[in-house]
Amino acid sequence: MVGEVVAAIERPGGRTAAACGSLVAAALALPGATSAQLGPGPGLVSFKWLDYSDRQPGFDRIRVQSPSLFVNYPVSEHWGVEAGYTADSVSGASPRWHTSIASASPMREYRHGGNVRVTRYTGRAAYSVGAAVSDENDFDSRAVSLQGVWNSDDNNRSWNAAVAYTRDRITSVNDPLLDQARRTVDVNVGVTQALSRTDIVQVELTYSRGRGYYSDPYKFIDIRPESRDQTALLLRWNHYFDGSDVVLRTSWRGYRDTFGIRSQTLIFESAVDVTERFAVVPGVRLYSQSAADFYYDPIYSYLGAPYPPGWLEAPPAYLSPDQRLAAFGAVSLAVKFIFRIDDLWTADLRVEAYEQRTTWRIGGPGSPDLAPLTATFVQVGIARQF
Amino acid sequence: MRRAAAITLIALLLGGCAIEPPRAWERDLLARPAMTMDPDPLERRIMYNIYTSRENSFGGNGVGGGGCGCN
Amino acid sequence: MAEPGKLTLDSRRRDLLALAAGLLAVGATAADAPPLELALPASDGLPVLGGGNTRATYIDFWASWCAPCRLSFPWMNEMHDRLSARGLRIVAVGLDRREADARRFLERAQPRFAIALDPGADSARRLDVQAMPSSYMFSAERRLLFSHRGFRPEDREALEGRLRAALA
Repeated sequence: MVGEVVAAIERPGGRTAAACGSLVAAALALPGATSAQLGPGPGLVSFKWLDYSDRQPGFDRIRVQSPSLFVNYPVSEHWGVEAGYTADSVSGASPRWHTSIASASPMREYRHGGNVRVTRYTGRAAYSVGAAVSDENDFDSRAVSLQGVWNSDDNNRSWNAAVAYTRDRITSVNDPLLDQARRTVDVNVGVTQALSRTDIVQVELTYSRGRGYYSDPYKFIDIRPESRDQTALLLRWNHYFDGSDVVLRTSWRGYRDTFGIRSQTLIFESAVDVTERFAVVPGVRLYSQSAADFYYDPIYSYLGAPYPPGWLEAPPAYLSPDQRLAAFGAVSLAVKFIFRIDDLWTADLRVEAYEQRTTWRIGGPGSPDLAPLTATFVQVGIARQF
Repeated sequence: MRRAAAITLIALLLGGCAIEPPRAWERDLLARPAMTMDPDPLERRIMYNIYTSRENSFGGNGVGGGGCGCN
Repeated sequence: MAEPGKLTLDSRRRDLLALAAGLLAVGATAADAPPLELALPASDGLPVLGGGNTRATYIDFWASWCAPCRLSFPWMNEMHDRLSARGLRIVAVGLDRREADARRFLERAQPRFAIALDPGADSARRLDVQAMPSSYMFSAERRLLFSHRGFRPEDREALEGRLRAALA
């Protein structure tokens, strides 16, 4: 690396219009994958344990215990490797239609997945190649991805772009003849900009194009289209309240897809440094989605559940009683405690209460006759820097 | 709602021209972990998996993370 | 107070040949610009640049929150030990807004060279600092010889070479 000649430019009235380009997260000051200038960042091993349970009135439904590991290994100033591993152990039952668990089907019981990413850092840019694998007894997924990050000269703006290809294989514990595939291409572009000393914003657009099998083999009647195109727009803003130790992080995501689902997600998180070693992060998440075009309400024909009216006489091309495709809203409240034990070790605890209700849908009516869903997540984590 | 998002986006970008982008020595606050976009990437991935298994929206979490089989 | 020197700016060229040409151009135009003066007092009793100082000066801009700055201090200590006898004066200008943060950083870094604190960042503005850390090498006549953005361990050898060349 050689030095450069620098000019002291006269700047009448402050910044020139060209300086409206902005800068990302103190790129030179903070190492990490987002900081193309610096490099791979400090070595890190992070472990988290998640305990998730959800229930609907009258019965517990699903309980998940899940350890996860993440490692960042800086090979040199120009190369970094990140790797992660997750295992889920799931117990419980999944409804066969709407909220009924009559003759409940077994959930996939054990899932594990890993991912790895290699990044090359060159001056103002970083290029990554990644691969991810996920296996369950009835589902396999393989994905590869490429990503680039570019910083502006004054480090006030950062561009990123990524593309990924995923291939999924769907089988069924109940049906040994089922062997279907699904292929998805995802494209992602974004820009991050420091607006001022206390504000940084990010815009990111994702487009996904999938072809293949989308139906749920465990639902009694579930026939979904063989393609799904999805678009998501993400806006994020971090604001530091100068003179205090409080940061407000706001994020909004708008989503739509060719299943007919439209959704909005709004998250507020407020990171408060109580002491030098202890921080509290309360958060609120608001979510609302419309129903898929082929979702049908629990209004059954004379044949009884789960057959919708007209099912025999004029069967629709696609339909699904999956509650996750219905119209509903969800609210969660969360709080996270972060303990900086010393310069190397950090521990954290995060608790979230989540509830889904059809009456909470915004911008239209919620789907009728579905029981609310409540869930609790507890996440404990420990991490060490190197 | 889409239109609102577009207007917000444009306002942000135009507004950026009126707000002073920080000089190199003014990035002290931006350097704090709480001000980064992803202070805890492992947690973000975990929560994304949870939400996508109980809701039906995707995206906003990078790409190529592998599927969870939540058909 | 002298006006900031007007120097050639070329921050987009990447190949060494172009850079060498740029440095030659700097040498040429620097001869036309008046010598720079920074009156901010440093811990060795002299102003950062100008006043009674007659030695070549290496000015480094740092801050407590800047991670690469932590790496640069041990190296600057080394350069001070090796090259101060040959006429090198190192002044590290801290740009922290709060003095307590700067003092905490200095306690860990234990610099043997001169320190100046500039919470208002006037000196950084005068030199149009674009990155943290940034360093500027001035000749004894207060002409800018070269500057350097950032600090990475792999930069150390090349930087030391340029310092020695400047002192020769």
